[in-house]
Amino acid sequence: MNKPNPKLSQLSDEELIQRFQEGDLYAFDLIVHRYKDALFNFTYRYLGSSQEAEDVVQETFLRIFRNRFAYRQIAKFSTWIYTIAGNLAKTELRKRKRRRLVYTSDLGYDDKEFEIEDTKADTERDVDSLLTEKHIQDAINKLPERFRKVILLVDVQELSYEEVSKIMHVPLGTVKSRVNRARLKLQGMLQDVFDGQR
Amino acid sequence: MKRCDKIVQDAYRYYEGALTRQEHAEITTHLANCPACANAFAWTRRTREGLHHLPRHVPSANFDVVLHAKMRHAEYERRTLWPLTMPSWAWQVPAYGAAALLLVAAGVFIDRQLEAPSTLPVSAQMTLSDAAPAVTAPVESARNLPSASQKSSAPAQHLVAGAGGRTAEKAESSAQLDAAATASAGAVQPVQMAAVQPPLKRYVMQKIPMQTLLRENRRTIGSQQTVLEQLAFDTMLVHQQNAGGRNPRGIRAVNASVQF
Repeated sequence: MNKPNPKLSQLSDEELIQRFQEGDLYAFDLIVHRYKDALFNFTYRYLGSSQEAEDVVQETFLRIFRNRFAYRQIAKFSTWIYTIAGNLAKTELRKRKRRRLVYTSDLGYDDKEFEIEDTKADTERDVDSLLTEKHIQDAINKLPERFRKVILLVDVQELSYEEVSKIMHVPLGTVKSRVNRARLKLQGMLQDVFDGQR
Repeated sequence: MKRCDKIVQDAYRYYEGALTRQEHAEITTHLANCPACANAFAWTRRTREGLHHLPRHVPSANFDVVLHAKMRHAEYERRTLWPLTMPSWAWQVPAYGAAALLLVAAGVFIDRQLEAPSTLPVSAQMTLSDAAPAVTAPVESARNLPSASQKSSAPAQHLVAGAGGRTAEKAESSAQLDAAATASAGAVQPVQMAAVQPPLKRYVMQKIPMQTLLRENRRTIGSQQTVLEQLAFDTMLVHQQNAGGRNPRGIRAVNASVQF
């Protein structure tokens, strides 16, 4: 990957994609640099498989590379890229269902090398060691697709309700309602895990 | 005081700071006195914080290498295999454009062909389908028709009156055809027209009401046989168009057919 130009790094996403549309490939590199981790984390949590998540993120960037002129500055770039990634991840999930392969939480212990340790998370786990990452991911995987996507975008990716509304093409009220229901479902599942272990 | 189920529903908003100060204080007071709600809130807090603090996973080290390879491949495809990879609209637009141009060119060609003077010999069979019920003269009567020389002047006068405004030029041209057809009037129907050698002129057909035609012909010539002969030309009156004018129906006089 090319080293991002310092001046380019100060540009907004929308300015970068515009530069890319004008033929500046460094601008595209910077977009990849900015979004690859966030998109990977989102698709990884959504699909529960690092290999599939990586394929989806690469396909997302390839789509943007090929269809660079499809972007119009009427929407935020982040909304656009999350929409593409979300749709591809959803397609991947459907393909998987068709293949009838069951990924029983390959959340991975073989993927540890790709994790960035979060000291804050460690603190929380020390306080409440019952809620491990595995438990939460298992619970997320059990959520219906529409709840899973919305809770990942709002609570994990920390996007605003408005942006999630645009990404998912649903009204703002629906997003809030789904987030609330998803949280309650998730909480219920985690409580069940806790009660089972006790 | 709110009920417990209503308070539990506000748990996330409580931790997000989305409640008013009064609502927040009210819930805090309630939690201090209600162990069930306090437990539910504790689970909300744990779930929320668990989600927020999930480890951030990042792609593998060779992510960029693979992506660049795919990008190079995509660029190669775009440059070399563009006809196969381009979207459907990208080839549909020029294809439909070319098809439209071809149709227009074909239309212009056909139109010019129709307007050009024909090189075919004039052997038009003139048929008069709508004269059949009104005129039932025997075929032999047609054989007794006057000669072309006798008729050459009369039809011209007749046509001026019959068409109601036709020019003498038009009448003359009609008379030429009239004469040509009369020369072969002795033949068995349909009447064979004599060849009129070039230049051929362009004509359009004009129908005249049968009653009008009969009345005017009878008044002019006064002979049933003559009327019969005239019908061959006058029911579908042919008049020359203005010079340079278009032939809106693409009909040539040589192809006109009139049937008894």
